[in-house]
Formats: sequence, structure tokens, C-alpha cells
Amino acid sequence: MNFELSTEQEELRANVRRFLAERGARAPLAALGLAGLLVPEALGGAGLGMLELGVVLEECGRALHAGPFVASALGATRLLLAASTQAEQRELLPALASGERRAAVLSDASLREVGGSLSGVEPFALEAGDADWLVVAARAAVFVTDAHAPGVRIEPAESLDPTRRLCRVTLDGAPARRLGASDASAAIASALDALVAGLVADGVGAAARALERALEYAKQREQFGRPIGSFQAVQHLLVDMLQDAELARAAAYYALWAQDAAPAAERTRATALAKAFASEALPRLGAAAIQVFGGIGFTAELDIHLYYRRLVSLSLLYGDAGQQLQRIAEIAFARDERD
Amino acid sequence: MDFSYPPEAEAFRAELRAWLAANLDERLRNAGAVRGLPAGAEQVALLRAWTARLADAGYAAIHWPRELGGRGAGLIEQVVLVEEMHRAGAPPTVNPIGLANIAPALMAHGSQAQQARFLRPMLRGEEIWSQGFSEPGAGSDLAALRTRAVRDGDHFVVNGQKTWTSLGAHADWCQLLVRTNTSVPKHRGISCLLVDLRTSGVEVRPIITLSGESEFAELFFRDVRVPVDALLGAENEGWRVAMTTLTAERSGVATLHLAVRGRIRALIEDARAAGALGDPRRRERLARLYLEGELLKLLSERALSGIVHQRQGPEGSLVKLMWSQTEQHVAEVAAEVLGLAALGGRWARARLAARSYSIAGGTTQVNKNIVAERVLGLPKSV
Repeated sequence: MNFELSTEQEELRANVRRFLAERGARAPLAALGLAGLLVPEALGGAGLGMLELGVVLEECGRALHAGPFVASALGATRLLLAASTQAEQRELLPALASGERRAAVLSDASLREVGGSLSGVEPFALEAGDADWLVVAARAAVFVTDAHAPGVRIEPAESLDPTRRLCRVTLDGAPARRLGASDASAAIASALDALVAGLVADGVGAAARALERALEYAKQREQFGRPIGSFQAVQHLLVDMLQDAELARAAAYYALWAQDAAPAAERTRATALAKAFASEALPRLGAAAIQVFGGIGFTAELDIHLYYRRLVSLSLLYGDAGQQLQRIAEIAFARDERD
Repeated sequence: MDFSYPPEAEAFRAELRAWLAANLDERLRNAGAVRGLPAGAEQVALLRAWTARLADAGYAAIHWPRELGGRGAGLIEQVVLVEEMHRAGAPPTVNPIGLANIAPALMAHGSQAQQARFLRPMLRGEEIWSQGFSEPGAGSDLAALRTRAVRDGDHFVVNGQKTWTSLGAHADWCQLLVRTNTSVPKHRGISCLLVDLRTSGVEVRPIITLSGESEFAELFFRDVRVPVDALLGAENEGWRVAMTTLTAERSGVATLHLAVRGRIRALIEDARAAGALGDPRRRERLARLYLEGELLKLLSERALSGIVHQRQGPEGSLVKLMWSQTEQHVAEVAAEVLGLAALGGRWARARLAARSYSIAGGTTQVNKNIVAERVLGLPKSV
């Protein structure tokens, strides 16, 4: 029974935290060699797994890192690894691993390929504005298209979360190159599960930092001649936040572990559990952080609202709580479900 | 990260599973107890015999040292034991409080003579043990206890009242906290006595809980003479003894999820039988409950892993809070999903009994105060 991160994983965390502290929310993570973290060593990457990537993303969440990172280093990379042929991987992945090229991933249900061209709209695509390539999951197949090709329109999406680079992508007859040959449903499902687990890890980091900030403030801010953190009402609010943060962390680590180590059914279950809980609990935690700060928390001057924004967008992207609970119901209520 | 158990633990599991298959009969499987405690005399007799059988096989208290009849088992083996007992539907021992909570204090603070006298009969269920801690005026603030013990020659004379004594109605012995010094700060004037409950002057009255059960009792002490060699630990050192006891209680948290997840599965089956799984609202409510149970399991595993790998984490302190919420939600969701069918029967009983989970063993509010101070480092509350 080992639910711990390894020494190497903790060292990776410390390095990333230091780098982000020095370089800020726009820190180029590719400079640390992290763009190829999931790419096999033979293709120029680090050949590491989802736990390592999750640690990096947790730090990105803490630092409210603005990207681009997750779309290319996780979403597109994982989809290419799962769905494309070895020759295609040799062609595409080294450039992603080095950071020379970036890719974004699209998976909206409206996306269709007809006669070699793609159509459809992804209303909130992560970091698509920074992408050279779009890796597109349309029905049961995966395609790649140049982000600057005719028929591709990428514009900033209007969203409450400025901490992620969300774009509205409209494909209207964009040239599509099919990757891999066989049915890619399972590959798409596994890549999207991995992306979701990674986003939850990001949320765990943002939530942990929001809690720390609220806690520091509660210890220092005085009213009625004493720190507000000595009032039980405030204390219990902070304990509820701690409970949500720790549950989300346990679920996130389990989901990250399952991406590489568990059979598909357990991976899906672990991912749905983590995302369902994160979607419900982490916006609640972000709201509570604002509450602890009181009036100053409602100002633009203080950045505590940015955590709330990031946690709300997490809750809605890639399946909100209701959609995840439906997936959980299908799994949990199946008659052969055992332990 | 690796969720498998070490091979030794799996070997122990296999051995235990085989033993249970050979030793557990239907009558024992149906000997269900209220929250792990026997309720009636017939059940007590059955569980005494079961405890003796477990003791003779070395399974009654595997965390005890081998020379005392245990296996010197570590935390993982203890978890495996609970998992297998749960899986097989085995009843608890007749002496859960003695074996898990009082024995560690006896081993840490007891004299050779006390250990020789008490541990063996405790292990075999021949003597059932209870704890006299809480009082009407000392609940969350346990150290405010007022039951007095006054020295008279080679005896203490005890006067006072204890309440919420689990197993009180069936217990033979009691680990009793008494005040032996009233002129020092409250924590420093407490002593711990090992008291034979058949001593003259002891009166035991069952407490009927709001759900109609009588798993607890009140104990009244009127001029009860207790020999001085019944002191556990030094005089006025009773608070330290009590803390050993309460710390030992925490190793059980890692397995709290087993029973509650079993109840969640049972509710899912009842909902299926009632045709409620097709209704989107009920379906979502049950899925959320299932999620809660799985999160409790993950949190418990994180807590367990933290102990095994010496990582100081906050999970252990949060498990009790999360567990009590989940237990109460099961009973509430049963009504949301089953409707009128939950107005009577097992889910109705569960609904009422569940109120104790946020009170017993430290109320939710006191636990949050403790987490706020000790885990979050917040200033002491007003």
C-alpha cells in the first residue's frame, strides 16, 4: 500500500516550483524539457508517466500558470501516442517533445470529417491559439490539421477564466490528415481520460494554494482585537476547505496512477470519480477562499479570484459534475460491479 | 505509487480466509451487532465463544505481541484482518474496546501483575471490558471529570457517575478515570483505576438511545472500595494513560470505509429492486453517494500509506469527519431514493442511529476545532 509520490517525483515538483517562482505565470516549461515529458526517450522525450506530468500540472495550478503547456504536452501527445502509427509518431512527436512545435487537441461532439476535410466547432479549446497543429478526435478517428490552414478559425473564447488560454475554434472544410488506420475510440477515450486527470491535478494545485493563502490571511488579519482565524466559524470554513482539498488530492493521484497502471475500466472509473468530485468541491473551495478574505477578496486588486475562476472553468471543461455522475452511475450500478 | 499489499500480508490473507471458511457458521454470520457491540445476553454468549475461538487461533488481537497471544502484526496486516472479517461477514469480538483500546494502555502502563492478571481473560472474551470516561458534565471536555476517588488505607473510595459507557450493560471490568487531586490543574489530578463492576456500590443502568437501542450504559459509584493496586499507571498520571488509550483508537480509521461502502452497495441493490435506478434524479443522488464512499476509501488509503511511510499528512484527522458525513448521507439518501419505504424497516432504523456518528468519539464541531488548531495551525478558538 503505497499512495506516496517517489523521491524523484518530489524532486521534479521542487524543480518546477522553483522555476515557476522565478519565471512567473508565463514561464516556458519547454525550457525545462517538460514538453516531452510523456514522449518516449527514443523520440526525444523524457519517457515519464502521468504521475510525473500530474506533479508538474499541480505546480502549474498553484502558480496559475497561463500555458501553453497542457494541451500539447498532455492532450495532443497522449492522443498521438494512443492513436497514430509508429511512423507518424516518429514524424510528429520529436518536434512536440523539443517544444519546437505545439499542438492542441479538439474533441467536441460536433466535429466531423467528410471527404478529407473537417468541420465543427470547439467552443473552449485549451491553448489552441498557441498551436501549430490541431489534433482532432472526430467520431472514432483521429486527424491532424495545420492550425494556420484555410478553413481553420481560432479566436479567443469569451470565458470567466483568463488564467487558461481558451479559444473558440471553428473548422469549416479544414484539410484533414487521418492518423492511424483502425478504430480509434479506445485511444481517444484513454487520451481524454489522461487529459482530465491532468486538469484535476492542476485544480488540486490551485486549490491547495488558495487554501494556503486564505489560511495565511486568517492568521494575520485582525478584527475585534484578534486574528479572524481564532473564530470557530472561520476555522470550520477552513477545515471544510482542507477536507475538500485532501479528498481531491487523493482522487487525483489515484486517477493519475490509473492512467498508466490500471485496466481501461478502472482507469475510466478513477477518472470519473476524480473529475466529478473536483467539479463539485473545488469551485466551492475557491469561493470559500474569497469568503475568508471578505471585502478585499471581492476586489480586482487581490488575485484570490483568479483561483476561483480557474476552478470554475475546471468544473465545466471536459464533463461537468452531472455528466461525470452519469458515467459513475453506469459503472457503479452495473450488476457485476464488485468492490 | 502502488496499491498492492506486500506478499506477507497477502499470505496472511490467504491463511485467514481458509480459517474463516472452516470456522464461521451461519449462526455467527447472523450475529450482527449494533455498531460492533453486542446488544443482548444471547448475543454476548455467542460472541464470547467466537472470541475464544479467535484467540486460540491467534486472531483475536493480532496487534498484540506474540508472547501475549497476538501476532505482533503491523498496520497492513491489521487492515487485512478487518477486510477479511468484513468480507466473510464475521461478527466482531465480544471485547472490542478491551482489545483495541484498553490493552495498549495496560501494556504501556500496567504492572507485571496487572498484565498477567488481565490480558489473557480479556483476549479470550472471558472478561468483558468497558471504559468509564465521559460524565454528564465532562463530554467534549473530558478532563473536567469529577468522579472522585479518595484514599482510605489500602483502598480508594469512589463516588460519582459515568455515562456513555459502551458495553456497560455486559462488562465485567471498567477502565475508570477518577479525580484524585482537586487542588491542581484539571489534567494533573486524574488517575486511572481498573474496577471490577461487581464490586458493591456499583450500579449499571442502560441508556436507551433515540433509536431505541441500549448499547451504552450509565455507571453509578456510591462509596465503591477499590484496592490501591488497581491503579493503572501512577496516581495522578491518569490523563497520560487515557491518551494512550485514545491514540490506539485511531488505528481503526483506515477500515471505517468498509462497512459504510457495504451499506451503499446494499442501498443500490434496494434501489434496483424498487425500480428507482431508471429515474435520473435518484440515479444521480445514488451516484453522488457512491462517489462519497469511494472518496472515503481513497482518503483512508492515503492516511494508511502516510502512517506506513512516515509521512505526516492531514488525512488521518479528516477520515472521522468524512466518515460520519458519509454514514449520515447513506441513511438520508435511502429516503430520497426509496421514499415511503424508508419510513419503516432497516433504513428508518439506520436514519435514526446515524445521528450518533457526528457526536460519538468527539463531535464534528470539536473535531473541526482540533483540526483547525493542530493541522492548520490556527490560534486557539474562543
